[in-house]
Amino acid sequence: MNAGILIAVLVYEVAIIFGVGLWLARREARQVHREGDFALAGRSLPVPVIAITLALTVLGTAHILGIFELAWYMGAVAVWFSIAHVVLLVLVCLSTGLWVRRLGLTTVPEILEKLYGRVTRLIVSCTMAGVVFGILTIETQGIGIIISSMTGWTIRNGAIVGAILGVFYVVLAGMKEIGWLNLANAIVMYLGLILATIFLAFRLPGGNYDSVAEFYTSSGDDFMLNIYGTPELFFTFALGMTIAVVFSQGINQMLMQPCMSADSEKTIRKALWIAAPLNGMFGVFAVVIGLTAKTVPEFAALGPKVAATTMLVNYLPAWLAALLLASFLAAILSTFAMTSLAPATIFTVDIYKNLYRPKATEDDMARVMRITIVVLAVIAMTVAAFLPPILAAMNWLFSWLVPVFWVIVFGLFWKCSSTVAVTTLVAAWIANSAWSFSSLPQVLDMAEVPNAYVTLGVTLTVGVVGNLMAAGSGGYFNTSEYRSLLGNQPATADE
Amino acid sequence: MFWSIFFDSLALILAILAVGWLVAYVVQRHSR
Repeated sequence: MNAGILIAVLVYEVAIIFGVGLWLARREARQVHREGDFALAGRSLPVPVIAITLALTVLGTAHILGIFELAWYMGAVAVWFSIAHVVLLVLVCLSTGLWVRRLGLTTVPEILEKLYGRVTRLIVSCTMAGVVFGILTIETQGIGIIISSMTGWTIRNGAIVGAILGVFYVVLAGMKEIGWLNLANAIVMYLGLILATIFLAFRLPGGNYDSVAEFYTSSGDDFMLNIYGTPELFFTFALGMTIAVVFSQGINQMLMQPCMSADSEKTIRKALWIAAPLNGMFGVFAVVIGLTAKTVPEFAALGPKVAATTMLVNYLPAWLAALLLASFLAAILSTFAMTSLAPATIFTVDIYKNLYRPKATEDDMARVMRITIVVLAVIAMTVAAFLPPILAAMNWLFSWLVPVFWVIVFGLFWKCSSTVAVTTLVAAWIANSAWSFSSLPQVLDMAEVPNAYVTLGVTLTVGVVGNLMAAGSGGYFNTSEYRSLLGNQPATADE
Repeated sequence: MFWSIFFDSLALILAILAVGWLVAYVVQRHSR
């Protein structure tokens, strides 16, 4: 690709990141500090910022590189990777996100102390921070792959440049910076995607996508043009993906933190109507690009991993390929920023302040978060250089949070027994690791079953049976503490 | 091809949003 255009992309990213970041940092310096300024933007973010941040936080490497590849193998049903995230956003914006905002939390593990005590909080703090950090290493690798495929640099060098940009996406002004940068970048992203789809059609026979449809119809693969695929694909892939995404991400700090930063519960509810279509429709463009790449022999010969990106670089005008590169980079950078801020927040609030410095001020905490973000990014760059397999790593990582979701739901609605909670968590985590690192799935002839199903099965079995047998106080939502909290909510809380 | 995938997905997303909103509305009414 033309070096001048590449430089333009990097200059755009650097200019917008430093422009918005420094402007916010200077404005903050003049204002009186409020609770959670760095981590939660002073709980002041409006609907558009919350909506776009929620949409982009869960739109990263897997959405871009994963859907191109999935579309090659299974066709338009690959759009369910995005649809699963629509269901996730419904759950977050209409339940879990509202709960964490209502309870005035800064981190998800705080709620575990309310429900089950300090030990459970610490166990989940370490696990959740570790899981989100694991996702950070994958995003770092994704940035490296995208920069590498467009420039010819090594993946490691691409990852280093990307990680430096990613750190500045968050470190100057925290959550507020991520939010406002996302708003600007989302516009560039959709502009790039829409223009790329139009220009791609112009390069195809007839100037439209009819030849792509013809390719699949004539080879008897009509199902690849249908977003519901075949009944088998629908039940194994579409529904499987939805269950895995919803229960593993439904209470993840990286999605809850934007909700905690909203200016009211009403804002989170309204944000759903922008966030869900924004994330969901991204999949449509990615699927169409992936399906098209397979129909052009010169790109099909390259195989599923690089066909789509090579086609975009070769078929689009240089300026548009650059715009698309900028949009993909922006999407991954936003996920990188949120996945570094989330574990840094958990470390600072649940470990540093909770265990060592109970009297830490807002400034102390912002400083610790900034240092943690930089340290995590440096470690992530190092890990990314070893190129762990993306989909296998995601499968294992996400499943760690499935029992956390259910343990919180049990505690809020049903019963608080710390013994059952810890047993459920540990049993599900052992099952998850055994499924990934032992020959258990082959022995049981269930190698195709994803980790999320296994952890969900173990969690529900141990959690439900345990709670039926054990004694424990009732669900938190039935307590007088919660009712009095509701009574003290400001009118804007919409409850 | 593009438009059929586009509109099928859009309809599906709107249907999921509508169902989600309806469930949340019913649960909220019930809990009051």
